[in-house]
Amino acid sequence: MATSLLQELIESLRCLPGVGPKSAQRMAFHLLEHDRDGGRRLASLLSEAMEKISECSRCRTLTEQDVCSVCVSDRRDVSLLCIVESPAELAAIEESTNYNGLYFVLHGRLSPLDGLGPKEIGLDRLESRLDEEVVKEIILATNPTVEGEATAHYISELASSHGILTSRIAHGVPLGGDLGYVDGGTLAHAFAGRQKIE
Amino acid sequence: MSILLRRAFVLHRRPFKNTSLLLELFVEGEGRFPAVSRGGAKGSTAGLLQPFTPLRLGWGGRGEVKSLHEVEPDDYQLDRLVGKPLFCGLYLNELLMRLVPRSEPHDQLFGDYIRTLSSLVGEIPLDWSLRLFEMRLLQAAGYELVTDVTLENEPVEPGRNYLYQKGRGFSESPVELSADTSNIISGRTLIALHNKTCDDIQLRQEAKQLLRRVIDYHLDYKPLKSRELFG
Repeated sequence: MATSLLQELIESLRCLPGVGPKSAQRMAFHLLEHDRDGGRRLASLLSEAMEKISECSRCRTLTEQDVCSVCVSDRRDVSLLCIVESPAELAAIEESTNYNGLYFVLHGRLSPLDGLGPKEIGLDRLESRLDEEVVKEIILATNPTVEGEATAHYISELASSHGILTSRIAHGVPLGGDLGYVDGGTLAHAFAGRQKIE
Repeated sequence: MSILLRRAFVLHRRPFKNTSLLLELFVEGEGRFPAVSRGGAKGSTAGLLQPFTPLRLGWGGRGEVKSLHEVEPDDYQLDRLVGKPLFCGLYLNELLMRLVPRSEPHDQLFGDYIRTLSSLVGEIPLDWSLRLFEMRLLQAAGYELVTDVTLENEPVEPGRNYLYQKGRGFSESPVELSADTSNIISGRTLIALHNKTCDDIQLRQEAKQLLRRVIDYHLDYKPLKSRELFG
């Protein structure tokens, strides 16, 4: 039996994260029965976005320009460079901190078992950026996982060979958290990274 | 029904569905196998289910991919690996994944793995810790490298040179050197590998080159990604 267009639509919606067969069916029926305009807008925007959005040639975040708005802005402190694993993390930092420097997006982390080495996460491009620009401090905002730590260490060695200061964002007890419920690793990390009260 | 939680390590983890993790485990008495931890990417288990953290695990399921039920930290701790020792740890895990087939119990290897991880932050030179683990791993994978006796059943002598015969062992090197000298190795290095002690940096360098060739041969010359970290 040939698959109907409706079935194909339901199947395609399942490529979204967190969408199983039931939710995909609900989405398809909702668009077809109640919101055809919304569906058309979504379709045309999706195809436009897939065509036009690519990586910023400087920081590798997602943008439809050649260079993204952060990189092109003249209000940014060009001596600060923050390294993140994904564009989603860049967005999180932009939304909730007052960080005012530039970024570099790795699109992953050093993970040999996933086939990700220095080249796959764009460290050759980072290095040429360090050669060309006047970066004074690199802020490593990779995740506190084993691979994130390995990535941070690798980049810090790269930076020190260029005479650049590196710092790592703090990890520890979450704000409003309870020490009794924090896992041992996090607690040990929080103790090792304790700070003087000034 | 109570089940005894087994000693284990996570070798590799990958996000799976929304909040689950697909893990490759290395478990004492069981060897290595895949398992899913439902909801494991959230909360305190996310911090525990990481490589190089000694764990006690309970799991179930009949298929190849097991389902992880219980996760607890083991009652001993290893020093956190940072910097170069961390790269070495990632190398150990890649070796285990590539050389050891799934679901073969390697009791001794599990102990060797713990000892090697703790020695990465100890006084033994890092490279020598890796060499000793490579030797044990080759043995566990069925590719034991005999370094005290030649293929002709003669004892290896410190003053002589030997020729590595791919996948087999060592034979006495002919007096006239062949064009390819990369397979020539000194008896002193072979004996150091046999005795598991070595203070001479040159011998260690030679041992490194030798074991690299041996491992590459057994991996059909497909490169190990973690070597790129040592650049």
